[in-house]
Amino acid sequence: MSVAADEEREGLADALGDEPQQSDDDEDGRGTEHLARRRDDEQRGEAAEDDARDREGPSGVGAEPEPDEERGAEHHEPENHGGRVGPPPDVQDRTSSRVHTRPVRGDGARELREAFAAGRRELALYLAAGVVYVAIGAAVPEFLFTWVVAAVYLLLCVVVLPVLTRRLFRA
Amino acid sequence: MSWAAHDLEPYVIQKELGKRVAFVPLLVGSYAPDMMSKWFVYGVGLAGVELKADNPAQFHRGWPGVGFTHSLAFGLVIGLLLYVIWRNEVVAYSFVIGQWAHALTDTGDTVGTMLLFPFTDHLFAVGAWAYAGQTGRYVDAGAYFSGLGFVWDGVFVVWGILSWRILTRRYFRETVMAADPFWRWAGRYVSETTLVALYRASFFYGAARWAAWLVWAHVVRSFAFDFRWGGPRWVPRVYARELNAARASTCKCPGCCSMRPRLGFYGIVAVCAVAKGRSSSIRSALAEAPRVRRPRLRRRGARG
Repeated sequence: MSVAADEEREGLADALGDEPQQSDDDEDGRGTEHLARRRDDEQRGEAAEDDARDREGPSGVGAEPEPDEERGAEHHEPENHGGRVGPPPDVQDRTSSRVHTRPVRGDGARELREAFAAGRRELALYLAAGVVYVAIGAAVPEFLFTWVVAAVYLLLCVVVLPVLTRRLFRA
Repeated sequence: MSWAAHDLEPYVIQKELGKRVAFVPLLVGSYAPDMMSKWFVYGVGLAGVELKADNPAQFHRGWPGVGFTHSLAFGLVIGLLLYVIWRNEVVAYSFVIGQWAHALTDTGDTVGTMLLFPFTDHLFAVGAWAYAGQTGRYVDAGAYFSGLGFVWDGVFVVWGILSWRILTRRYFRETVMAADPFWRWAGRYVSETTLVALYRASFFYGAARWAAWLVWAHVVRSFAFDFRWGGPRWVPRVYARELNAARASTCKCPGCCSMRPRLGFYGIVAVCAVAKGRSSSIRSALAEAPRVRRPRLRRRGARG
C-alpha cells in the first residue's frame, strides 16, 4: 500500500490540518457565535454543493476525498476556474453567501491565534524539519545545492515520517 | 544573482495577486533563467573532465551566451509558447511575471542582465552586490552572504513570513488550487498533505537555505561582512561596464557598438514582415473579392 493511500486512510491530513474553524470554540464568545453562524451557512452551502455534484458528477479534484475534510463550496469558485472546473453558475449564486461569512481581515491577531492553535503540530513539524535542514546544510553545503533535494527531504519529513511513525505506534 | 529571492518571490507575488496568477508557472518562470545554465557557470566534473564556462559572467548574463534567458523578451516568448500549447492565459502570464521578477532581481548585482535583448545586448545593472560566479560556488556564496545580497534576500524572507496566510492549507485550497490547473491535476494522484508540502517546498527551500548559507558563511567559515555598495570588496567581482566595453572593443560591428543600428535593423525586419503579410492579404482579398464595376466618371473637359 502506498504512503499516500495510508495517509488518506489514517486521516493524517485532518490531523495535521491548520484550518482555523477546527480550533477550540471556547476561546471567546465572539468566536463561538461566529463559528456557529458559519457552520449553519456551511451546511446550507454544502447542501447546494451536493446538488451540484449530483448533477455534474465527480469533479476530479482529489479523487479520494478525505471523509472529515471540509471541501466546501468556497473551494470551488467558478470565476477562477475559467468555466472549466467547478459548479455551474446557478450554484455560484447559492453558495456565494459563504464568502461573506469569512473572518474579517482586520481581525488578524485572533485569526493568527486560531490558525496557530489548530496547526501547531504541523508548524512544529515544519520548523523541526527546517532546523535540521539548516544544521545539515551548514555542515554539508552540497545538501543546499538543489531544490529537488530540499523537496524530497521535506516530503520525507512532513508526509512520510509521520505516517511511518503512526503505523509503528499502532503496530 | 540571488540565492533565495528567486525561491521566495513567487510567494510574495502570489500574495499580492491571489487568484489572478497560477503558482506553478509563476515558480517555473522564476527559476527558468538559471535552470539550464547555473551548473556550467560554477562548473561540474564529469568522468574526470571539468565542464565550466571560460568566462562565466559572459556566459551566464551576456551574449554570446545564455544571457538572453534573463531578458524580458525571453519571458514573453516562452509565455506565448505556453499559451499556444495550453490556451490558458493565466498560465502564460504567470510564467512571464515569474521570469520578469527573476530578470529584474538579477539587475541588483554588478553584472546585471540584458533586459532589452534582442534590441540591445547592453547589461543593465544596479550594482548593489558583487557578482562573483567566476570564483566558484563556495566563494560566491560567501561573498553573497556577506554583502547586500543577503539583505535583499532577507527582505523576501521577512516579507514571506509576514505573509504567513499564503502558506496555510486553507489558502492553498481556496486560492492556489482554484487558480492553478496543475494542482487540480496532481490532486487526482496524491493526497492534499503532499500537495501542500510541495506547494510550501520552495518557501522552505528559500528560507532554510538562506539561514543555512548564512550560518555556513559566518559560523562554519569566517567570511567578512561588507555592506558597502557593490560589496563585498574582498572578492574579485565582474562589472557590467567591463562586459559591455569588452563587447564593444572586440566586435566593431554597429550592432555591438550602439543600440540604435540594432533597433533599426529589427525595425526594418518588422516592417518587411508586416509589408509582406499585408501584400499577400491584399492579393488574396483582391482574388476573392467579387468584381464591382464602377461607372467611369466622364470628364466634361475631355470632349471638347
